[in-house]
Amino acid sequence: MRASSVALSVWLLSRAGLALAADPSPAEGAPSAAVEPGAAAATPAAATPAPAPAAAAVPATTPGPTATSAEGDAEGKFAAAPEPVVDSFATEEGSSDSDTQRKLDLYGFADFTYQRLLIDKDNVWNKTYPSVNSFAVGNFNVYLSSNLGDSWRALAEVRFMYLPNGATKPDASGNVVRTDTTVLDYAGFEEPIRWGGIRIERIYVEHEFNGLFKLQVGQFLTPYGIWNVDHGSPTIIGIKKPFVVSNQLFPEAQVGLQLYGSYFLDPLEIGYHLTLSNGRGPVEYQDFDDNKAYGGRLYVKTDVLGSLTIGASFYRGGYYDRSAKYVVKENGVDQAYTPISKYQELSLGADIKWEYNSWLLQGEAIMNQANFENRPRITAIHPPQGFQADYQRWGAYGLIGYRLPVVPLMPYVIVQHAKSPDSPSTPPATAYEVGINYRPTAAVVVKLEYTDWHFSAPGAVGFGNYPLRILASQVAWAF
Amino acid sequence: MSRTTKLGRSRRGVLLSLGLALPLLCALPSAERSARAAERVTLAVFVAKDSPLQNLKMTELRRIFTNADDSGFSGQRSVPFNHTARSGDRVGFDQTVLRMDPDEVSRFWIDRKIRGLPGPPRAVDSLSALLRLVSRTTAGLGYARPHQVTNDVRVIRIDGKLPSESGYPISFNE
Repeated sequence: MRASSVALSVWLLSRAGLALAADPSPAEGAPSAAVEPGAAAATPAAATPAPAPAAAAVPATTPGPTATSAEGDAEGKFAAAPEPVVDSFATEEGSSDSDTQRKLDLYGFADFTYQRLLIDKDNVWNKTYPSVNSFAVGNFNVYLSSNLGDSWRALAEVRFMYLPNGATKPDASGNVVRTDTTVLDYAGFEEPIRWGGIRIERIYVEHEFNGLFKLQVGQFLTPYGIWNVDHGSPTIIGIKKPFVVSNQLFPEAQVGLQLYGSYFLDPLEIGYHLTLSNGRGPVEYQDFDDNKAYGGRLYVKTDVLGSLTIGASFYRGGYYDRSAKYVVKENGVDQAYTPISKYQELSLGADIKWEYNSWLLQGEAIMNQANFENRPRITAIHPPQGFQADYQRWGAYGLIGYRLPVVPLMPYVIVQHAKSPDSPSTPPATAYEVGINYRPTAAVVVKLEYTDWHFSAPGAVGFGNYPLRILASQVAWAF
Repeated sequence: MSRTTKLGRSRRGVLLSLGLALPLLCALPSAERSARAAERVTLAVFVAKDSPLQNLKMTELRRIFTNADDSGFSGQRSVPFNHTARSGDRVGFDQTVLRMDPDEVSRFWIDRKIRGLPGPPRAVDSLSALLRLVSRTTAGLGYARPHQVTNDVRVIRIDGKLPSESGYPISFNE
């Protein structure tokens, strides 16, 4: 019996010994001299390309595993790996094989929102705030991206919309007119269907000369701040854009040229964007006054303490809208133009984004100033009627969030302020928002947000006299 | 009496052995697990033999594998090749070099593509293909365990160190 006890103990100890032996020291997994690049690399300079030394290709003095056995081991490891979770996002980017690069990458995002106003029934916001107490698919954006080879790349993003169906607009007599796109479907039994629209968010082709100079031609998102470029509902933290962003103190997108680039000066990345475009106007593809807009952004980024980016942006351009009328002249027919609105504008912005461990801090401050040459008449239901005055609008927001360590949940707080004297019905406002951003998978985001707006004046039509509290929820997903 | 004593001793022996064995039995699976968990994996970064690259800082490696363009005036970008997402070495590499767990990596690339920026480096699903691609691409860059690296490519230093040297930065517990 004693012998059996001893045998059991020995067996147990031998198992333990095996278990310990299964823990190799790091040196065991280290390479042999087979991978030693040679003496030439003994004092390497950081990322400094050196002449290809003969020693770099020194054959193995102590041959390691043969290629076949190494491959066999590795194939097993790779084969055992589960399918990538980012399949649709794993492109051939970076491949040297231009044939494999020339494929179309199709992806996008969409969101579904439900919001309620937590206000009294007689509050005017119940009737004027968009999409209240309604389920709504807001964004359905599809990207088409392709590497065209030889440092050429193309990107298009389009948004599919229910609009213009249901869009409302007040007429001169105060009636709210709703657009109805109902038509009879000839492909069926002429049942009524409603058609929607497609909005081109951006479309450009880009050529990369080098890291410092990349040129985009087409329509691009104006490179200012953080939110306008983050752009997509799965990427942005909150549900609604801050008012200062949605109010477009910078134009959201421009048609023209964008030159950009960056340089890494360890530990700083310094980057710039320069734009030349038609500027803001009533028609994207036509510049009525041949007055090109220009702008730019300069940023500095470092990963020394988390990831910190600080940027500044500007935009200068003219807006011109006109009506046209055919007139008969001595030599034939001509068009006579009547200016409707014409102004020069200047926008300035500053932004900061700091991600440190699980913390996120971001903020933007933006200013826009317009000086009119031809003042448009203000379309206002409530007096005073008149002509648009020069204005300076500005706003800012700050966001702080913390992504929890176990659950992929980020509680966040946003404080924002906006002043828009160009719109007399919109009083100066401050909003306090609290929300949670839950990302159960990388491609799906669920958000819940409460916003409390405070107005510091009634505004031209008295909206500021009524409190506005919004509870919104959203599911956004990338596909 | 002596027989009873013998029997008692034998029982005590069995009980003692069981008393020793049971805790060991209970501890064994966790010991094995921790032994496995403590296995240290080192990843060598390699380039084509004709690549002039000899050394990279970790910050530079991180920027290469996040597709940051640091080519400057030369325009000669490194071309990183990755392992498939969620494979053991990819997860370890991402955690060590990019300082991101798999979910963060997925979020990073999705967010980047929605911003309209280029996507992740090409993921190669076999080591032989990875070695072949890097060996044929002057600006190519890949990583693997040191014993998997063949003579078709050349291992470079990271922060001035080779994988065999102490203080080599790309190592992690599997």
